[in-house]
Amino acid sequence: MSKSQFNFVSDTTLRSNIEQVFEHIARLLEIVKDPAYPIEAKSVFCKTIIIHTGSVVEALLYTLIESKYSDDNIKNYYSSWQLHPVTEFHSISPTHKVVAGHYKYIASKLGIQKLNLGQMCDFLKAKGDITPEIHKKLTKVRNLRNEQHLATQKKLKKYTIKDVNEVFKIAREVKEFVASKLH
Amino acid sequence: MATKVLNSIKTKSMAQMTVAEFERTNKTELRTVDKSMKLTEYFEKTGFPEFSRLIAG
Repeated sequence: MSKSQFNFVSDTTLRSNIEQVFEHIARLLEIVKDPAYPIEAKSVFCKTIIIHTGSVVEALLYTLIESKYSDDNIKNYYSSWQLHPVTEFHSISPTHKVVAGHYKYIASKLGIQKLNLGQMCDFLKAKGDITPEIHKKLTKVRNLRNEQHLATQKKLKKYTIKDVNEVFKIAREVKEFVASKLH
Repeated sequence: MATKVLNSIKTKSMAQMTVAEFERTNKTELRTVDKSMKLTEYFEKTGFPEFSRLIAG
């Protein structure tokens, strides 16, 4: 067995992917420190590092969920009773209506593999696997990672080594937390 | 012999590697003359202590 720092991740392909990401990040860190690159370029490299680190965090949470829960657990959590179709009888105010409808159980099609980072965080918090404090930190990583979607951004954001170190710190906490749950 | 050495390095985690070993396996060069330094120590010294702890075993 490889002497990996992620041996608690039993899926060998996932483990290799995580290790490969860290080797890539190590290369990017050299560029971030290189005085030959302008600050704007370094900012984008920092963003790349944050996105990659967020992917590792997501993979670690996936490993934790997969070890403890089944697809049925996920389906049950995301399924709910809903009024469908709904007939409106009377509108009391813009935020208050009297309605009638068929009350149906809408089964979710989500499984473990279809969960996104936000759903993983919310599920683990609801199940008591992560504290609200860790959930808050994970939300920060998720928000930073989601900034890869350019269309929703209102300004050109600058990313720094401080941002990178902060995400590394959260990722390290998640790693230690997941490892402790799986050992 | 070279293949044997390379294979033995590949079984090491980043936390176990020296700068020289990392450079050899990743065909890259890190900005230090002390190639015998542990990779974790290198990142600690270069301003990424949390990355060092993240890759540590």
